[in-house]
Amino acid sequence: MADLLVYEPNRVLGRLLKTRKVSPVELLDQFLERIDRLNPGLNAYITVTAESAKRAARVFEKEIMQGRYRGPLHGIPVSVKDMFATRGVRTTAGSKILSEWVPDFDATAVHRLQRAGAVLLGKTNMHEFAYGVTNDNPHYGPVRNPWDTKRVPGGSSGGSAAAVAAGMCAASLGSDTGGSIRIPSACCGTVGLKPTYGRVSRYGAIPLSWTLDHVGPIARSVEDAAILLQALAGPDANDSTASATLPPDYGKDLEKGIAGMCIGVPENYFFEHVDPEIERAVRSASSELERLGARLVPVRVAHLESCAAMEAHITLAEATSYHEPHMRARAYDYGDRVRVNLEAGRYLLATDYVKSQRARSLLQQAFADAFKKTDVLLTPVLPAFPPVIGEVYVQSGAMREHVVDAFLRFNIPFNLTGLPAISVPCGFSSAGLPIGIQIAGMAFDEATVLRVAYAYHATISPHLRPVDVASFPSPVR
Amino acid sequence: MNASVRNQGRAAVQPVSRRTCLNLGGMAIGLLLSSAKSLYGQEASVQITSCMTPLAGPAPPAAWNDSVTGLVSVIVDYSKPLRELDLGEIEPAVHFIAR
Repeated sequence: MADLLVYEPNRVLGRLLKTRKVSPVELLDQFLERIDRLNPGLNAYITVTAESAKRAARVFEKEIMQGRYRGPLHGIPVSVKDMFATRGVRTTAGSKILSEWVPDFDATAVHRLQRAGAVLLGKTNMHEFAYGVTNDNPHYGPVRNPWDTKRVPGGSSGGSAAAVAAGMCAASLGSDTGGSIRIPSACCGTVGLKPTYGRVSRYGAIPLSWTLDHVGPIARSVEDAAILLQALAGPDANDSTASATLPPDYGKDLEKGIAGMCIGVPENYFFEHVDPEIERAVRSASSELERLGARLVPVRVAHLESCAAMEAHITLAEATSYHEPHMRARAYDYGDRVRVNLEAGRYLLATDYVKSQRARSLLQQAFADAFKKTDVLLTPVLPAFPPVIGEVYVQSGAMREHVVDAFLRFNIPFNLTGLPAISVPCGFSSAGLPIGIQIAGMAFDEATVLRVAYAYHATISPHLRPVDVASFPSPVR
Repeated sequence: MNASVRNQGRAAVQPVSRRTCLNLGGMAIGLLLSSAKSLYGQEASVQITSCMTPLAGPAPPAAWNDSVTGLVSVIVDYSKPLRELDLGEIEPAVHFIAR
């Protein structure tokens, strides 16, 4: 019974907590026991905040007993990617550079989760400074994919996705600059939402690339992702890019169904060089959406072939700029791959950076043209499966490519345009690895993205099995 | 920058130095553009980053140079579609806001 609770969606946990069938302290103990047992093997957490979590759980238990219920996140144990400032708790960004930084403030997103009553379990492992897609961290060790512990969980929010998948937290907070919520969600079989740029405040998140960074939830269900987004979204005076528009009620139309909606299936770019099992699974998902009453519409989106260059010029220039002081003083304390990226950022042309920022407007127009014909777009999240830890090449159909190129490919258009996009599990490969579909929508239309994702996930979720933790090997040293 | 340029009077050195650096930087970029797919010898990659020192700051240590120039050349290579885009009057997606 104890282990089953850690896999329950927040809706069920919230009901049990509200009706006092389970207390926040009891629920917390189950997650802490699970972290104790599984983290040595998975390495999903850098810091576990057991004592402060127990204190918070006791406070929330009292509140619930007194009828002061805060909402669906009250008493729910969550984790936070270790690039979000947490007051009094070490925040490393997966780096040696910040290994001893203890912030005296909370990131806005962290504050909002705690205000909603969530219990902070700890800070999850991540790719160093979020600057990668494998979560093979040279300072804190690699995170292992719960579905195949020889493989990477994807990144850069790999610890968050692995923790959610393995029942080591009920949900997590991640960030996404080129896919870092959606990539590990697809690799680990979780739901990962990158909201519209500006929907969730970036204040207190260590930046990778200011104009591409997004903040969002990783959860076990679409409904949970909607609950988290509701708590996170909204204006923030501390983040000048945060939208001043108040968020809608994301739960209101969630279960409305998708009959009559148009699902755009791209004819270009998104199905090129894809593993056949992944393509089959995504096409099968589109057929399922059709069975649920939606209409599939073929669409073409222009200028996608420029996305890789645009992302590279923007990310490298902005990241190198942010890290300049540390690179001057402590370049040797960066991991090899991150250091190469930061050094390379100095040799790219300013005119290419500006052109990339101009081309984003062109890309936004290209997607706006596609959305004239459709409500959402359906694409794969990834063209290939996660590699074995230490390997950097993957097989994307007939094409062998670097894992960074492969994993960014279908994700970066939605960072460049700022459009909302969610990764939802749609099944498993013949080798037992999760596969994710991506549903993307118009700016600030997370409600429609969630509605389509919910309708699909409700159909598929009975066929999705939880991770078999009994198969985990002993901790790898 | 050769010794004769460095030894000129201060007022004369700076504009000549800037032009020389820009020319050397341009040559470096030209080398990257024209050799995008080739594998650099270590000597060539050191030359590229060394001659850009006045613009880009100190070159990476020798152990990193090949990886850095290799990455830059890959990015330059797949920037061809971006560079060919005709953006007309389109302004950057990121705007400065006066407060």
